[in-house]
Amino acid sequence: MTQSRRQFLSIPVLPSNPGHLVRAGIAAILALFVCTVATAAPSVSAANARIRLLPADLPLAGYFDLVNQGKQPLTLVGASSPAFKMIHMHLSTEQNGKSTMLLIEGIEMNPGETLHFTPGSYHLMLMQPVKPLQIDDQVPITLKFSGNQSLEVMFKVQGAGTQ
Amino acid sequence: MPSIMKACNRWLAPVSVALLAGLVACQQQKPWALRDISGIVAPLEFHLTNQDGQTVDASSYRGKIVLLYFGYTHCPDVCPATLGTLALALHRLGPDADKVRVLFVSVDPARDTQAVLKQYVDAFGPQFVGLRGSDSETEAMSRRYRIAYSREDPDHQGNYTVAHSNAVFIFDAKGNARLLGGSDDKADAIAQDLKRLISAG
Repeated sequence: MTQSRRQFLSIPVLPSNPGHLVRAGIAAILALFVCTVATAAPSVSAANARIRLLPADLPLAGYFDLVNQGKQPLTLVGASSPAFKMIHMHLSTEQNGKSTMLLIEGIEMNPGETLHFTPGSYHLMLMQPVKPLQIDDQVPITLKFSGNQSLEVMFKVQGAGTQ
Repeated sequence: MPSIMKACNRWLAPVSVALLAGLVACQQQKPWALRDISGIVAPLEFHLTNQDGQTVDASSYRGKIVLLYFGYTHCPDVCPATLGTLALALHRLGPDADKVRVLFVSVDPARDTQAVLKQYVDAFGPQFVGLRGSDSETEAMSRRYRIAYSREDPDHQGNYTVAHSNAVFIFDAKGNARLLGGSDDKADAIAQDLKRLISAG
């Protein structure tokens, strides 16, 4: 990426040679592309992404582990997927002896912090599947972060006994 | 001296037998992994409809260890996670899993139709039974087991959640309440207690 950026800066230095100019132009476009991706993709990685499949178009839960590998705090603000018409971030919690769910607007992660979306805690509530899912399907879900950043994660569809 | 030794042996032998017996007794009374609710919670009793449309009551499950859990199928996280843990515990029992039934009582009979319940319990295993009743029957059962549940306000699309107690009541083969589990209990702990209940008959 650093190299691409240098090539991008080299354009005005080589104006007299058309061949160089074309090559530099391509490099510039490539560099722009790389930079755009770099700006939008946060320094965060996801693992163990899974969906618990239930029958009858019932709402499903999505779970994963997320690590903020960057040097800045990062806020997870939501998720979207072409496979579901609606996705909410939820936190299961217990109040007055009853389990219930809270709708979560954002979760801040400090640098180096790991966030677990796991049964009985944070989960993505996946509603209105566009088409029926099957065990072993891979479903793309885009996790959205503050500052217009996002990360596409492939979730593996697993059975009702998913932990 | 030898006569003293003999006397000691005569005296010590019964004492060691008694000590051993005491140790065995202690082992039998080792604590359960789950909470003991013997004599505290009411015996198994209900009249509800199962996922096949049959009217069933406690006598339908006499002879089986019964795990009783209240929940609703539109619950995406805690209910399936708890049922999944119970399924894993039953898996640990091998063929003895057939001596156990998990009764999932819907606290949302409006959305949990017989057809939805059938697909739902089938996804967890052959030992899982889905039960539903009228609102008043469900309320009566929740009072019997002091289960709290409440339907929360629906969103603009009419979706709603149901806050509910996450207790798993375990009854022995005679229908007596014995143990209480929850969503935090691990499959191994549950399986360990179930094995003990099964071996006790």
